[in-house]
Amino acid sequence: MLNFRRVTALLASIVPASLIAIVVFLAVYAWPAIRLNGIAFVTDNSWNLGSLYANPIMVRGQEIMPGAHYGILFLIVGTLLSTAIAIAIAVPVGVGAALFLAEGVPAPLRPWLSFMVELLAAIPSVVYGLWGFVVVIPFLGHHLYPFMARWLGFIPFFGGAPGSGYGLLTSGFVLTLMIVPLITATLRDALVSQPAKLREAAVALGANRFETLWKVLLPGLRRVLIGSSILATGRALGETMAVLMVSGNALNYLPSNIYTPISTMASFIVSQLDSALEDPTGMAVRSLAEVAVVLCAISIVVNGFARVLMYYEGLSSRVV
Amino acid sequence: MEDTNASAGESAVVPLSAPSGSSPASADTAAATPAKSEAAPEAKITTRSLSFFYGETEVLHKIDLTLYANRVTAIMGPSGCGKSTFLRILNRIYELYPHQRAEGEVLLDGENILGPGIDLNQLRARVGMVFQTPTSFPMSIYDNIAFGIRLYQRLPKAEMDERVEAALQHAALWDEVKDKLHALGNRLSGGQQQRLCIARAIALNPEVILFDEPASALDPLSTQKIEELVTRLRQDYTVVIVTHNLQQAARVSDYTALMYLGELVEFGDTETIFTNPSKRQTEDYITGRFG
Repeated sequence: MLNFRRVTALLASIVPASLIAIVVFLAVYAWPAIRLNGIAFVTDNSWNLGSLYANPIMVRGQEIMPGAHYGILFLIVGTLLSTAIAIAIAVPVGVGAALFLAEGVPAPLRPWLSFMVELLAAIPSVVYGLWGFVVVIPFLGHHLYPFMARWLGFIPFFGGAPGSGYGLLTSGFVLTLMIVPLITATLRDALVSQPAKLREAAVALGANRFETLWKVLLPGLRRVLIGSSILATGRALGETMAVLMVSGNALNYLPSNIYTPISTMASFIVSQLDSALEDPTGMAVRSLAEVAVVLCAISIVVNGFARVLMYYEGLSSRVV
Repeated sequence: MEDTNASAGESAVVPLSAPSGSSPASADTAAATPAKSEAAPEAKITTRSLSFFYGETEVLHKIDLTLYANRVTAIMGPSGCGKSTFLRILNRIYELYPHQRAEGEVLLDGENILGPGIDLNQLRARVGMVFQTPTSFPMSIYDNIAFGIRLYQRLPKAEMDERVEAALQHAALWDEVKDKLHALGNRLSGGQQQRLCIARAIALNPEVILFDEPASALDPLSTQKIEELVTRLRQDYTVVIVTHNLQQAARVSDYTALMYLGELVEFGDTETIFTNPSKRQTEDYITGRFG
């Protein structure tokens, strides 16, 4: 019978069901590639489709093109590093922006500035990518990076060839810009909705505005900060278009410094799909699916780790 | 602090004291104030033509009131009469909000705290406040107390430990929390949290403590503990307590002020106010005919 319970149960099950369906499909589809590539898939730096015009050969019971080899360590490294850079910059910037929006800005301006921050989150990523491509990269490649390589070269990975502007750090910057609004908007809302009494209590003890924010209001929001950082990490790990346009699309080598071109897993799937489809054995596409499986696995691990962190934070900082 | 303690010794007068009731605190109170001298209590805070505005709306109308050192003054009145607003002027916490302003004078030991050049942080160290609902911070019990102290002083750990213990002792919370000082403050019960907030205020060695309906969110037993504490605090502090609970005012206070619609209706010692009020309005209020 149609009753509330059943309808809601049905609707609610759509989300987990589609999640499971996608992962299961991917894993099943990628299974031949997983068996062929083995552990070398995540430890080797060689993505090679092989000779596409020769006759397929059999390796480990799978039909592949001769010379084909699939190893994506460079993608994993590129993805993790660009995301790490983005998070490392975006968390302090996002927290600072949230504090500023919640407290620093004159009250009449607050809704406008907050609206603009949220708008930043609504811009399609391909627009960020195009802007990065046209505006940011020439500036970084011709001015900032040579400058940094020269004067900050004593810091590990800051020296060496400053490159063209396409690369790891640029990808990190563009990702930063995309995820700062996520952190800022979430944290700002949480700050504003902290009970006025808490603020008054701190002020009544003689705390100034900064002490109140930093020592009383913010510690209660660690969970919110971690939560929004997880969302941001997820977005950065999976971001495709913007990174594709600024990363330099490196193939088969690891970055030697922060200016080196990289590729990320998500953008690699997009950029390689066309040529992978040329493989008559289909193994290239299945290996791309395996990239997707690895990306999902990394996202799940990151999320799980953050959940564990939140759980322990929750025990130590829950606000009544 | 010394002058406060000194005055506690000199002007140990209980004009009429909290009514001799069953409250266990009355024994303490009596012990603390044995002398029955007729010396007048010392004025700690005096307001002169104190008015208050929310934007253009005047909500307090020229209040003249004196709060005495080492006495508990209760401010009563129906909701919206301005009693909390009055309290919030005394530590200038209203200044958190841009459209609120006070006019007139509030003299704290003769100095107008509404005047220019007042250091607000110092003022709030001298005039502590306890709120209606417990507002423990999202940190450990220990840090809840140490937070306020650290705003003013850097103390070596041993000394900080002593200050924290002393404050918790004073607020009658020590025995309940001494084994879990590093547990979260907001894991305590409501009544315990309220005493934690009182300890937090005491830890700064204030001269005045303002209570804004401190027990209205608590169960009767916790309320009783808070009331005992308030009565005891008068030995060392000037205590002002806003309440809409008549019995509470009668139990804990030496003086009572009745406010109505932003005006001070009557002020006097608590016994007189409750037994022989001079204003008709006061009589109506305490007999429950309005409010």
